Parts: sequence; C-alpha cells; structure tokens
Amino acid sequence: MKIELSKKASEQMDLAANRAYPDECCGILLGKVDENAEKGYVEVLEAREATNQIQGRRKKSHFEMDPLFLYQVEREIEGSGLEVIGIFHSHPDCKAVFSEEDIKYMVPGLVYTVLSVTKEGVIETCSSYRKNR
Amino acid sequence: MKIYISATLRKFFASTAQIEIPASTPRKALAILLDMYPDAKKILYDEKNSIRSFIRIYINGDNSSIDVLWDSVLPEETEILLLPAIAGGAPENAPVESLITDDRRKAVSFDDSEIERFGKHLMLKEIGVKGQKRIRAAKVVVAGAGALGSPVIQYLAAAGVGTIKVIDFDEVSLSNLQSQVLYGNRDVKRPKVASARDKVKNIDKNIVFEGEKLKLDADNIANQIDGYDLVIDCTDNYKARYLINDACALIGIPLVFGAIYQYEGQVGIFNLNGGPCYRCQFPSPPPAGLIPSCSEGGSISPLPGIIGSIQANEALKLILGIGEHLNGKILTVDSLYLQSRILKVHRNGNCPICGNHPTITQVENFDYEEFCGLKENENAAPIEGFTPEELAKRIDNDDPITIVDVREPHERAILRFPKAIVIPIGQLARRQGELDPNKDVIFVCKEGKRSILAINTLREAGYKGPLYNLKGGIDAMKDLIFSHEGAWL
Repeated sequence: MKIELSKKASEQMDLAANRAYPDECCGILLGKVDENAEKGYVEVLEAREATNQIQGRRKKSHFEMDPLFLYQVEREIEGSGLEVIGIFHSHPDCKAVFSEEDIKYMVPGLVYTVLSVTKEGVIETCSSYRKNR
Repeated sequence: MKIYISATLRKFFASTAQIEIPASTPRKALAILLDMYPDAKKILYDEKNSIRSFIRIYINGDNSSIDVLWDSVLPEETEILLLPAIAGGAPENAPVESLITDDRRKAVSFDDSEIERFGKHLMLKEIGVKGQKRIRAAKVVVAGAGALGSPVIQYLAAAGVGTIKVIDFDEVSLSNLQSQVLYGNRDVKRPKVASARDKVKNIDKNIVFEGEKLKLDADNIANQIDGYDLVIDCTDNYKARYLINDACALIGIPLVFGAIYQYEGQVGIFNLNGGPCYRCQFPSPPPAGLIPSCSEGGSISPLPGIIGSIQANEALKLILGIGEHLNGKILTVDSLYLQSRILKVHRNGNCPICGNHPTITQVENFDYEEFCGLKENENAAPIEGFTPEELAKRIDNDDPITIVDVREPHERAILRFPKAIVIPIGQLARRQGELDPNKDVIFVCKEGKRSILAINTLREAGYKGPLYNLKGGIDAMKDLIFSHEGAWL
C-alpha cells in the first residue's frame, strides 16, 4: 500500500509533536483511500491533534486517546468526503519505530504514523499499517 | 438496540456505520452482529475469545458499564458504540542512557591510587575513565542487608559506587551466617547497617556510606529514597516489595528487583523509562502464609550470591548506560537444575500505580498490611492461640489436648515435637476425622504462620471443634525448658 502524507498533514503533525514535547502527542489522520489503485493508495490530507489522556510522568513515553474524541470526529466529517484513515503519535527523544505496545493496539488496515521528536524538532517520521491479525 | 461501528473498524462490517439489532442484551446484540459479519469476529475477539485489547465498547456513551451490563436487559433505544482504543508507548528496548548526567560525571576526579584501584574497569572500552566517573557519581539505595544485600553491597563498594545507602532494621543473628556473607561470627547481635558500614569502609574509605537502621514504611520511604539514582530491592517479604515498587514508580526511580526461594531466584528491572512496574506482572501478593518467606522456606547458601551479583551487575549497567538489561523482563534462575529463562513483563494499562489512570497516587494512602493479608480479617472468626509458656503448662498438666505438627518432614528432622501427630496442610481437610472435636487441638509449625493457614483450612472444611495456634511456632518454644523433662524439645 502506498501512503502519501500531504504537506498540510505533515505540518500539523510536526506542530503537535513539538508543542507536546517532552510529552507524547497523538491525533487522528484524515484523508482519502483509493481502493482502485494497484495495491491501494492512501492520501493523508489532514491531522487532528487529540488530548493525550495519560497523566503525569508517563506522558513522556505513552499516549492514550479518548475513543469518544474519534467518535466525534467521525460524526463531524460524515458526508465531507474525508475518512478517518489512521492515527499518529510522537516518540520524544526516541526513534520513530513502533513499540510492542503500539503494535498491540493497532487496528488492521489503519495507517499509523510515528514521529521522532527532540528538543530541536521532529527528526524522523515513519508511516506504516497493519495488514491483518 | 442501535450499534454504531467506528469508521476505523467498518471494513470488517461491510462498511456498515450503524445498524439496528433486535436484541435484549448487549451480549445477544453482539452475537447477532457477528453472525451477520463473521469476518469481524477475529477483529473483536482474540484466540481466547476475550475482547481484543484495542476494542472499547460503550453503552450510551459510557465505557465503564459494559463489564456489568453484558447480560442485562436494556431498553430498545440503547446505543452501543464499537470504538478502537487508541494507545501506545515508546519502545522499551531502546538503548538505555546512563542514569548519571554528563555534568555529574565531569564533576568527579580520580587520584593515582584510584586509577590503580579501578584499573580493570578502565581497561574495558565500555566503561573506561568516563564510565568509572559515572559509577563514582552514582547514589544507590540498597533496601535490605540480608542474603541478597550482602553481595550487592560488597560489589557496589568494590566497583566504586560513590554513595551507598543501606536500609535495614535488623541485627545479625547466627542463622544469618549461612547466606549473608557480609557478616561473620563477630557481627552477631550487631546492627546489620553497622557491620555493613565497616565492610564498605574497609573496601574503599572514599565511599559515602549511609546506614539507616529502620523498617521501611509508607510514612518514611519517600524520604529515604528521594534524590537517589537507583533502588535495589534486597528485601525478603511482599509488603516491602510492593512498598518499594510503588514508591519508586511514584517518585520515578528505577528499581532493580531480586528475590530468592529455596533453589530459585528472580531478577528484574522496573520503573525504567516508562517501562512496567512490579505490579504490572504481579498485581497482588499470594495469600499470607501460603508462600513461606526465605527465613521459613530456606535457601541454598550460594543462591543469593548468584542473584545478588546479577542485581549488582544490572545496577552498574544502568549507571553506565551499557549493554542490554532486564528492563521489563524477569530473569529466573533455577540453581538446582541449572536452568534460566527470561520472561517478558508487559506494562499493564490498568495498573493501579503506573497504568494510564492510576488509583494509587501516594503510598501513605494505601493499606499495605491489608493488601498483603497481614491484617487479621475482621469478618473471619479470630484465631485463638497459646503462648509457648501456656502450651508448656498444659503439656505439664497432662491436659487432654491434641498437638498437630504441620511442618514438612525435613523440618521435623531438625527439631522433633514429641507427642504431636503429623498432618501436612494439604491433607487436613481429608483427615479431619482423625481429630477429636471434644479436645483442644493445637497446631504448630516453625514460625506460627502456616499453622494459622492450617486452622483456616480446617474451618473452611467445616471442622467444628476448638482449634488453637502455637504463637510464634516452635522457634519461640525451643528456648523453654519443661519442669520434668529438661531436653523435652
């Protein structure tokens, strides 16, 4: 599957990651899926930042989003042509690779983007998706 | 009922967003839904048929009620939301950075004798002068100066750890010398922290040694460990273990945990860089009395040396920031059959101390005595007992009593309790017919703890006669001398 991040979505994610630093940020990716294209094609058009619900020190290395926030966004974009296509979050001072815990929570078919962010800003972005269980 | 399916899950439900299902309970509604979309079953449930970790089910906007509402009859207009849980964490196996900042390292300098002393560390390219300075700058707390504490304290001192704090309330006893290699005959009856100080200062007088002769408790632990880089748990009981874990998790200090039992030991690292804590793996201790502590269960002499040495090694690796380590893992070592394994510990999002929504935010507010089953249960019938003196008197008077010894055969070989009948705890319920309910029955074990378990077991099995415990066990009784039988015990 080909995943393409739009400039706008990238900027929105970088902003969220920098703002949350040294804590993890998280949010929802909106865009379009072209199922007719060969092997699938996903275009990420927009990134919506959500509140990281983890409290305290653990926020530096973990995130949790309120599922009802996703529900609200889904309701809001109904009929707009946009779809919820994935989730993003940041790893402050840590590589842009998916942890075991990230993988445990992955929903098959969604795009997952992780950003490596330091105090100098976002240094690496990695997108991926889980094919099946 | 109405079921809303999140866009993120819809592809397994033929793109259905919302569906009306005629069912009376959430369980039935979900079953009908999955009959319609069998592909979705593997998304909602795992191999063990439990709801997958990434699925959240809301009933009328509430996620907390589903556990109790599965089989409740709910009104037709009830709305069920199927949403994904969206969570994650940083990789746990990321290389560790040293616990010691560069500024603290740079503040250390060595003289010629120290360069000679630590020569074998300086030769190792992963340690070198920089690493040795980190070790010198480190401040480490060792909780417990017993069997595990003995190798830990000595190796930390030999390695040159700059500040070593040792917390132990106890004094050295003769029975400690079998495994606690920090001490010798001349230390018996001395406070352990005093002997530990002598030993450490004898190894390296430049080490700052802080000895605290006290029992760790919820009220004092934060003061004792705050400001230190690392805590090494060398205690021998569950209460201390949970207390230390919780305090470390709350303050944010990594913990090197160790435990031994007979021939087996465990080592692990908790609370490091957002990794799991001890409670993530062991949410609650076993019932009091079920697992004998080291002092009751015994252990082979070199075992704490093996486990404690691994603890000290892990501590140094954390201070240095080198190698792979046991973060989020437990190493188990079986010294009898020479097998070892590494078990993975997963962070538990629902952990009361380090989960996403912790319920324990201060150790002062948590009842460790009750959690570890150390409090007498107010609802259970109280267990009556005899002191050794009272029991001795009754034996002297030839009162009609039955004494039941619940110890293991090898323990009885150390010290026989004459006139006692022997029934292992596991056989008590089955063999209760051997006891005369018209006579007082007194249970004895080594320390008077397993005998309480024995009494509770018999009561649960429906035994109605009077049951008593020998307080303090045979340990407390062995100093008594009976009037007519000098060497009775």
